[in-house]
Amino acid sequence: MNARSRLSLARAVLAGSVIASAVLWGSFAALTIYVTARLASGTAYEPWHNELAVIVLSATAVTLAVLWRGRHAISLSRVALWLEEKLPSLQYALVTAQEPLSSTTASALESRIADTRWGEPLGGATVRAVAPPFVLLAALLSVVLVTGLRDRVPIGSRGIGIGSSRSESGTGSNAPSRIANIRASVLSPYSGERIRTLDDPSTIDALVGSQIVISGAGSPEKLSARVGADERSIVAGDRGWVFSFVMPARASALRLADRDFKRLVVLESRPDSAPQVTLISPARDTVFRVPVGSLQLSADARDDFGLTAAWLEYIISSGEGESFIFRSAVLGRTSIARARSQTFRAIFSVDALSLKPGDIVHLRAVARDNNSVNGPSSGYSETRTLRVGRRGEYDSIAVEGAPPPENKGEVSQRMLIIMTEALQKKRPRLARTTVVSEAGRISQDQGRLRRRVGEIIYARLGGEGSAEHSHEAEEDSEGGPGKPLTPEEMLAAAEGATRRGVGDPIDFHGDETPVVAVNRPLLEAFNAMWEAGRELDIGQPDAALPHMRAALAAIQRARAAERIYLRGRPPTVVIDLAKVRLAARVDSVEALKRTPRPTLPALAASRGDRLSTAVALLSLDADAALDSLMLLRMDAIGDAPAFARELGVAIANIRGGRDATDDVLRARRAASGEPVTRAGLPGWTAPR
Amino acid sequence: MSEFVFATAQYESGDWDSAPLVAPNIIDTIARYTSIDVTPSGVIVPLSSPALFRYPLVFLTGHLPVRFADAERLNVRSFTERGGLLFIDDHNHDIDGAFHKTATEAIRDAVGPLVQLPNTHSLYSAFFTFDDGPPATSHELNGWGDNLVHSHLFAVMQGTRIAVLYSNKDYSSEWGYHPDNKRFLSIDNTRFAVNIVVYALTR
Repeated sequence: MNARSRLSLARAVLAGSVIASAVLWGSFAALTIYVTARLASGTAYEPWHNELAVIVLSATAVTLAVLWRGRHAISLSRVALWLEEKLPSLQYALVTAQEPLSSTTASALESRIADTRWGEPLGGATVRAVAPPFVLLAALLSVVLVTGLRDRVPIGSRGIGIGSSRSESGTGSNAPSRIANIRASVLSPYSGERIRTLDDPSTIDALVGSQIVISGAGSPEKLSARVGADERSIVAGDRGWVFSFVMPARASALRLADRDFKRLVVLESRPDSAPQVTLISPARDTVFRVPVGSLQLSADARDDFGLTAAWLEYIISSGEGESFIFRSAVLGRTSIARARSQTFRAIFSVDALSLKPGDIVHLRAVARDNNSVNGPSSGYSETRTLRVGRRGEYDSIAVEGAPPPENKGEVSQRMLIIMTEALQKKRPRLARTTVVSEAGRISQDQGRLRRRVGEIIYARLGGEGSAEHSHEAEEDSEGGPGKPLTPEEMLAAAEGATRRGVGDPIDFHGDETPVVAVNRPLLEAFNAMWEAGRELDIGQPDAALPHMRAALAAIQRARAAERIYLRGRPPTVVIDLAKVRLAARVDSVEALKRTPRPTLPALAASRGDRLSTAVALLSLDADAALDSLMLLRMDAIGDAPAFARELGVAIANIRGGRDATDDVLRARRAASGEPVTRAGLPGWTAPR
Repeated sequence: MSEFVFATAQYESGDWDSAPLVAPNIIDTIARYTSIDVTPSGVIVPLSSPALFRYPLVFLTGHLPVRFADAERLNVRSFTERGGLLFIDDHNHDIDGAFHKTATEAIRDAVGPLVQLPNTHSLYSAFFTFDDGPPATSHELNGWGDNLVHSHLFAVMQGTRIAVLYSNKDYSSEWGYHPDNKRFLSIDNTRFAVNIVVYALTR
């Protein structure tokens, strides 16, 4: 081997060292960046493909830098000079030998070069170039393998390949997953929406009953699909494999399997809302004094996907107590061609219904939507009550009393007492005639008020008018007031004259008949007023005052007693527990042992635990954790929509390789529900 | 331990107070047969009121159509979801009556559809044992109302628990008498009420 050949060999060795060194440094740089990214937990993460790009670019840059630094290894003259530097004994023979020389000179140089060995400097240079990156790379790799760092994945730090999960023990073929890329087509059965196509969905939301077609590439062999607990058969289709199913009524899971590959898709069923119906007219409950005429009824209905029919319906209840009869009918039925809102009207003829006093009309509007899958759903308006008033109820509550004409106004009993007290106070300073005159004026007012009370009593008792007229007639004929009846005499006379049938809707207490119970306070007031008037007429205000106060007290009692309870006032029965406790005859009774009420499941707490478990699982088995989160979301869609929504955002971000920490926190907060401030836990007891 | 308070539901439509003596009668019965700590008088609770959640058992009756207002419907739904038992009795004892039709519709909208309660249900053995299911009422036996002896009660179930108990048997009339008159009965006809109360308190 001549000198040139040996020099070429040395150049090859040096160049190889440079390349090996470059590759090792590049690998070390890549691994360093990967480990750094893994260790940087809790901060912002780049998606997996971005991270890979950074690693490749960094490794390439380092490799090229090392190559550039050792680029002179490919030049023979540079290699010769490097060897001359390392081996001074060559005395530039190697460099000179690269020049064109005479044969004598060349042979002399050849012999000198041949005597020199440069294996040692070449080997040393190679070791110095390769050993450091090799050692560093080996050490870092050892750390990664020993600590298992490659498996540690913070929330959202690594993208999750959909349908790419497979068990470690999988022994199937190495063909890629056929469920990694699926397409879902959603056809709503009646909503009129177009077919929606979803590529690679993790959640499919659709109306209950929608037809859903799932397709993917590849053959259908050994593929399986399960909707909830139902196995679906997969057949060959245009794109490869295909199957279809109907969106179930409740949120459930679609589970796809291809050999060891698994995939979970949440089916978020969207229920069709029932129509919203508002009864516009009549706007409020009404009482008819006389059931004549007609009513214009109108209502408004709205639906999310379209209405098909609307109408108004009524029930008329007649009767009282334990005996009721009912009539019902439908008014103004309207067919609607899938309009989303509709106003409909009808005429309610009161005349034609032959309503009687006490009858109640329960009126409402109804609308039906076009849900042909699990419907149709009906929506109802609030019910209006139209009541026909009973005779006699208008004096008390049903009709607002008009203000009395000015010339017929009565001074109230309370005011009369105040006036009498004032007269009594200044009586010592007044002349007797003045006292009699003032008291006489008060007596006239007292008399007017007494007559008004008498009218109320006798009108309610069914008399033609006030008994006062007869008394006054007596007064006129006899030239003075007659003796007033005692309450008992008055009541006996009144009851005898106005005996009513059993079951008349008048309140009463204890053993009293309705007439007595209702009128006793007013009759007491009537007689007390009479006595007060007599005392005032003779100028004795101090003697009149007790009667006037008694009259006021009786009026107050009458006010309380006169409240009419249209539905009947329930009697107050208070049980004497000490008396009746365990006093029952128990000879034939065998009481069973009671079991305590089981603790109610704390659903929110349970969901919080499941969320924690799934998040903890993310770092160990991201695919399983995602499945857990999706199943958790599926459970929550029905009764915890806020939690399901936040969880959906977290799942999307985790799948996209983005930071999902805040989303998971929001989901956890939503799982706990809105914070509620309360003074104490409510018990199953009445308020103290 | 808190006292049991018998609550009667007050609702916007209908005559909710048609059976005012049922509450004291049941309270009397509870005291006679059990050691349950019960208040001596019941309360009236509006269905739309948050106070509804204070009571484990709420009794609802009437003759007239029952239409829940929105607030009542939502409250009843929450009440049953939180473990309350709503006991509804048709005071008309008439399966074609307006109360039956409207009440079942209102319950279906608020809580869910009523299903027939098997006569072997634990309700019938919660305290006393009723081998034949719900005891017949004198109104049924006399052929009043719809002239039927209803063999079953109805219920809306939540899991294995009764959330709404519905009766066509007119217990409102059967139990609507002053408790002092119970001494004239050879067999106390309010015993089934004990089962309902015990069931509501223990499930």
